[in-house]
Amino acid sequence: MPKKVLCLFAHPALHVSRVHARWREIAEAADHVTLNDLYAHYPDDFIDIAREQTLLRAHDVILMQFPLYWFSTPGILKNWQDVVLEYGFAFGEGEQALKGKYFGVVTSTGGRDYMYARGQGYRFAIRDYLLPIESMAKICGMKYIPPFVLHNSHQIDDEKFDLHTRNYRFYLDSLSSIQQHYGGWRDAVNVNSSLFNSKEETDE
Amino acid sequence: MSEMLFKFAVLLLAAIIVVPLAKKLKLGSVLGYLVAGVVIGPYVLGLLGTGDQAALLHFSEFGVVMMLFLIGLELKPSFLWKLRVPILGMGGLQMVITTLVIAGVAMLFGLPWQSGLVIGMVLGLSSTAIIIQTLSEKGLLSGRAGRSAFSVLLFQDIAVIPILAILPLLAVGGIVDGAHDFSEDGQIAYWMSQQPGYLQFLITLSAIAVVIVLGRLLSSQVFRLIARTGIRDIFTATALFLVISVALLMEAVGLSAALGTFLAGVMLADSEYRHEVELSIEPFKGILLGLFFISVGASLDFDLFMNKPLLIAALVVILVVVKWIVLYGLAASFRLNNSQRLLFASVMAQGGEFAFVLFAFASQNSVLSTELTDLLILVVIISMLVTPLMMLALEAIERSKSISSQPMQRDYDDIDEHNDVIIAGYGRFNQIIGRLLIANGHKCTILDSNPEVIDMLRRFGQKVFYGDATRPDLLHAAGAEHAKILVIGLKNREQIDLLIETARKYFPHLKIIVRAFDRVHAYHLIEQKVDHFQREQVSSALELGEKALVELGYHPYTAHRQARIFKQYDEDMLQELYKTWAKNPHNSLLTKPGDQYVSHSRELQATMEKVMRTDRYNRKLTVEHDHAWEPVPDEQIKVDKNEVKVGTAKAEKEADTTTPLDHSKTDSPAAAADGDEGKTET
Repeated sequence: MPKKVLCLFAHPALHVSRVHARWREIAEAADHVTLNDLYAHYPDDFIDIAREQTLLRAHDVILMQFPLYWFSTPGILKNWQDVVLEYGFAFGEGEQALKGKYFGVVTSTGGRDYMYARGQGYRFAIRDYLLPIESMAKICGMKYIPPFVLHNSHQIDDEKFDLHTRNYRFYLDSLSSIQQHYGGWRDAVNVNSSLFNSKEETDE
Repeated sequence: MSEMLFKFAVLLLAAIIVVPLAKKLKLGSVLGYLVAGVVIGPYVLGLLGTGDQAALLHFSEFGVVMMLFLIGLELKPSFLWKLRVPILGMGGLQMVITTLVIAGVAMLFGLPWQSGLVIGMVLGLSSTAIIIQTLSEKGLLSGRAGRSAFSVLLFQDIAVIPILAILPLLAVGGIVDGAHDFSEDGQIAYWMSQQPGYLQFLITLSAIAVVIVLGRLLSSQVFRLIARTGIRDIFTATALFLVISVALLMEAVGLSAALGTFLAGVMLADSEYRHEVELSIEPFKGILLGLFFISVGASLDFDLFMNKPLLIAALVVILVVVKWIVLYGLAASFRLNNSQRLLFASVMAQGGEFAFVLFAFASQNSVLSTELTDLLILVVIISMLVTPLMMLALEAIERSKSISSQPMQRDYDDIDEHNDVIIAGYGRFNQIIGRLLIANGHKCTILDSNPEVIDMLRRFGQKVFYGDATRPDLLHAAGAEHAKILVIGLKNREQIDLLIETARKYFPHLKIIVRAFDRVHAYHLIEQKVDHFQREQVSSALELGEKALVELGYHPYTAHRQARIFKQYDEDMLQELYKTWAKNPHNSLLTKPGDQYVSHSRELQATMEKVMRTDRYNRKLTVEHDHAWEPVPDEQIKVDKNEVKVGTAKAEKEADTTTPLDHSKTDSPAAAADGDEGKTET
């Protein structure tokens, strides 16, 4: 059985998006991916908890996809965690609905990749910035997949963007058999480097 | 009387039989009318005598006048100004070149240069009626070829005036003083002709000024007054009166009536009564134009044709070919693409209806002999018959080249105000919708039937059209074919129902958004499956209620969430209650609802109250045991030190692991939603 992927998509300004607008279409077109556009469903930030929990139960891999806003997720994803991952549903006593599922992040940054190299630039890698989310996944008993990230999203040229887009599609496809790849991915700083070592180029 | 009615009946019957047939055969209505005319004319069935069609022609030329008025209505002065280059450039060149070439051909036939020039000028004109009707039927009027054709036609209409002036000067044999009998045109025209030149000029200018002032300033006032009476017939009468009187005025001062009414139309193009005026005139225009084409068909002189069939056929071919080549070349030099060039040249290569008048005028002035003008009129009529056939051939060519007609149909929106949104009714509710859309850069076509509202909004700089949106023709005029959304906020339910029905029937692609008055009205709208509706007071009442909760000591965010939960529950409740209502509907809140409905409603209401109060109780508990912020670590999770090198966040162990709340007690999503309220507040 191919794993079913739930993509929690959060982009509050999709009309100006380059990366995620395109990727969103790819995710939407993939059969094994359910795209859950949070800002579209909850334009006033009022999240339907029952609906979200039902979706979570029905999928094996949970993705959060968003542009990095202030080194973190856009607001609605934080709200989503706060209200959906309830005690008694996601953790604690009672149902542990997410246990054993996989959890990953797809994100993009405005800064170039060296800004997100450990010890340089902003001093931390994307995986470091996303520690709260990683911890959230652990608490819920999920297996954390290192982030899939695109840097320099504003200036990256079309050719590189196309390459990243192909990689993104490949990443989504390989999620359907994530259990085979997980061991190799688990410790990477980001999925890109481990999955596409040969293809990975630096963005100059 | 009864004889006239009989002839009228014959005309209409011919049209009724032949035109649908022609349409079915994809020949276009123009050819249908023309053929119908030929059939009932003196040479086939003889239902129309030889004298009749001339009188009929004269009367039905008014159809052309109305058509130009309607075209004027669609054109804003600003748009006309944009067309000035093609009008002067293309129109002027077309007239000059065609005139010279045809004059040359005429001289080859041995005519003196004066006669040649006259024939050239008159045959240079094309048929506005045929061209506009053909193009608009095919939806090509606002394409590039359509606009170019329109510009050239406009120039030709203007050119008729100098032609009329020059004609008497070209009389062969040197009779310079006008032999035209002006008494036919009425006393004013006669009086005009007796005046010195500068006075004539002044009078002409002031007539144009009258039309402009009338159209620009006065007509809105008048229409507003008439609209206020609420009698539609009087509105129609006013519109007709306007057109007829302008036409009379123009003819009296010696200008083309068509041109005059066109000008009047342009002056009214910005008026809020535009759509309604358009509608009032449209049916008359249609019928009169039809009659015009029929009478053109009926005036086909078979006897003459039988006398010299070869000569006439040759002349028709020469006329059409010469005009076609000139027009094609012109289109090429004005950079129209190939299919546009073909269309432009093919649709315009015929003689115009002005030729009938001008040739008659020329023979009266002894510029041309009567035999020659009869011959030329016949040639013009046949060339008119040829146009629809050429269009057919053109379509066949386009199809065989498998080029879609798409590029020809581009460029909508330019002439017409075709917006994405039509707003029907512009009361206090829809004004907010309209302002939101407009503020976001979406133009809206706004319709309202209250002159006071229109007046008031005008003062605020908003454009509202007068009209009853429930009429399919008005929706059509407002551009419903190209719109995406219809926003309905009419004052009474029957009208809303009617409008929904009309829109569904004629413009099924429109998304329908309706303001509902109350719950029962909402049920009706659910039944009609409109795309979106909103009860008019729910949202604003909730916002105000939220403020009341704040005054009662709630935290503003809690108050907001409570209001939001209420809204969701209330909307679910509406859908639930609808099912009960549908089994035993009542039609207003005043009429007695069924028992079942009442008990279902009370039940749901009680559940909602329970839900919202239980949540308040729950919140007190959750504040004490709020696990979401720093959750209890699960024993099974091992922190792998190698995995995360930076900033290992270790969840602190929470000592208190009291029994979690039982959220399952309240099973609605709204209840679950509020379960987290406390967390959010801490």
